[in-house]
Amino acid sequence: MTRPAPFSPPPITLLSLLLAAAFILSLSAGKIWIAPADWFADNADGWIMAELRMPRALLGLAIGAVLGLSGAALQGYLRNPLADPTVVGVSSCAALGGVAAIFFGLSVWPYGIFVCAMVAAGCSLLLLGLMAGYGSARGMPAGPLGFLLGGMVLSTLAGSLTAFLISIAPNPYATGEIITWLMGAITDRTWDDVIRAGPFMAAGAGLLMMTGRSLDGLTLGEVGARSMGVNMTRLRWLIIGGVGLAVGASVAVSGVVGFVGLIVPHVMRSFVGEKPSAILIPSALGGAILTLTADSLVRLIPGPSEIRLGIVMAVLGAPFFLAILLRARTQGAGGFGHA
Amino acid sequence: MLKAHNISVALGTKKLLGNVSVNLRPGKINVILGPNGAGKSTLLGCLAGLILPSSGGVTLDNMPLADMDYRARARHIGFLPQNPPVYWDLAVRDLVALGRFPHAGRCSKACDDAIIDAAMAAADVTDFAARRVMSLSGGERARVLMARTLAGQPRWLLADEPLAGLDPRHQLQSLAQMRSMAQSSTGIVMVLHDLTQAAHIADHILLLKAGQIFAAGVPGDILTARNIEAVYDVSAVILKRGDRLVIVPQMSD
Repeated sequence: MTRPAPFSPPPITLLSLLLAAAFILSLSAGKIWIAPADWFADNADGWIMAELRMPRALLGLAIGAVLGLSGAALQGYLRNPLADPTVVGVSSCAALGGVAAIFFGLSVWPYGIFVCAMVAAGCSLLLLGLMAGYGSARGMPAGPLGFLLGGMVLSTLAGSLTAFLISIAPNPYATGEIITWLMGAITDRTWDDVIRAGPFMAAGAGLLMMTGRSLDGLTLGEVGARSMGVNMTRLRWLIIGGVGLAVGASVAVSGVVGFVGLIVPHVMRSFVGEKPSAILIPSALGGAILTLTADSLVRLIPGPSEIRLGIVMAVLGAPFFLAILLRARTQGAGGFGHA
Repeated sequence: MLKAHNISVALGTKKLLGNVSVNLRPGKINVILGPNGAGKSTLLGCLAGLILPSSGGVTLDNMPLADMDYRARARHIGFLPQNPPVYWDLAVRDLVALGRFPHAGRCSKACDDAIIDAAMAAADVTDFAARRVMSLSGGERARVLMARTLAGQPRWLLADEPLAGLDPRHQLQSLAQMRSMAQSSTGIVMVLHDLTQAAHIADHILLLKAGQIFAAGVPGDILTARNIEAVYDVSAVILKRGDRLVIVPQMSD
């Protein structure tokens, strides 16, 4: 598949400007529109800004950035443009942890959902690492196949257990709370959520940013990468650790927000080319822009209550996914990774 | 010296290599020959440190490859796989630049750029530096992948069928490039199928059959009609043109 030449104004500058605009929109937009002049006012507007809008915008920025970054890193690692954080099962397992917290009544404890979701994400990435490494210990390739199969096992298992917990929920209130949480949103999040999730997302993003050159090496497949000196075991754990921490913390504070990790790296490739290291930062910026914009949109759509962010993402993401499939079909097998 | 000590490799119950030992000297062109399934690529993979033998080991200057740091090993040994996949549509120059991966942080950008340019010139791919890999023909892509390996400036170049897909001019150019590298003390090990080319370029030949070394030595001693029949199950007409051998395989009766 031949791409157009990369854009010549530096895309990172352009994306940074768009991100600044999306962040300002996220701070201003809502049932009450707050102009920048009133952001620091000593009145209700100032309080809404300081206590509600600012943590919400920061969370939207961070969640979108880590989801976009995780998607770009996973697509590079798996050499598959259809990969995103949900394929490795971490999102599903973190969601299961959150649902378990609600089911067992731990959500009344301020850290209940967060701790349970992070523990579940941690367990899932440990299992994923062990499953993906199983082939390696026997001299077989431990790359994408082990990773994908491991992720599929975890995702299916976590999805089934989540459905099981919903089906035996003790009362309709618990069922409603679980389903609402699962839809994903950053409504009414506070500084506590930012402080809880921020360090994990930053650590995960840091690990993923260390993978760029190794992901470039994987352009020539696992044998080619190993011949260039790429340490595949180290790379696998960087990806697992990075995605696990970043996406686990993201799900823990917002529920499941899908498709960002799938859509954004695709769009970025059109602007910066296909080199895996070159799309990491643009994908982080693009993910933040998309999430902040979508979260602003859900506040502006008229209605008795806000539409959940996860629903908006799914509505945007599903047709995009279909478009990718159709484009790959018109381009033959080469549309999926050029193997 | 690149040495394999009694290496064996098995895939399940199938033995791919059995107790193979070789001593390869730098500055020489070593060619591995043998029929399909003889274990040529497996031996090359072991020598490159990419396949771990089930027994025995490979050493580079007496240091076991298995104990070497990944990047250090890659700085010493450049490996050109046979027809590798290219998963992303990079610009040709970006793909060649991947060869500098093991040298990251050890060379300035200007130095890296100069080495990449030289590698592209050596492989005759400078003209399409800005093109995308997916737009290249098979032969052009093979030359770009060779340039990627050359950009690593390895002390040993291990290549699995490096001439496959190249037109005659670029085959000869590639062989001349390898001879030039050997004269600069680079050790060359490559898998070939063309017996005449092997006879022409090799200083040392390893003839494999069923995962074992059937014969090893200089081309004139190894590429005999008897050895060729025993290994390939074909008869061969061997002609001498000056100091060159021309080997024409024919189906045995």
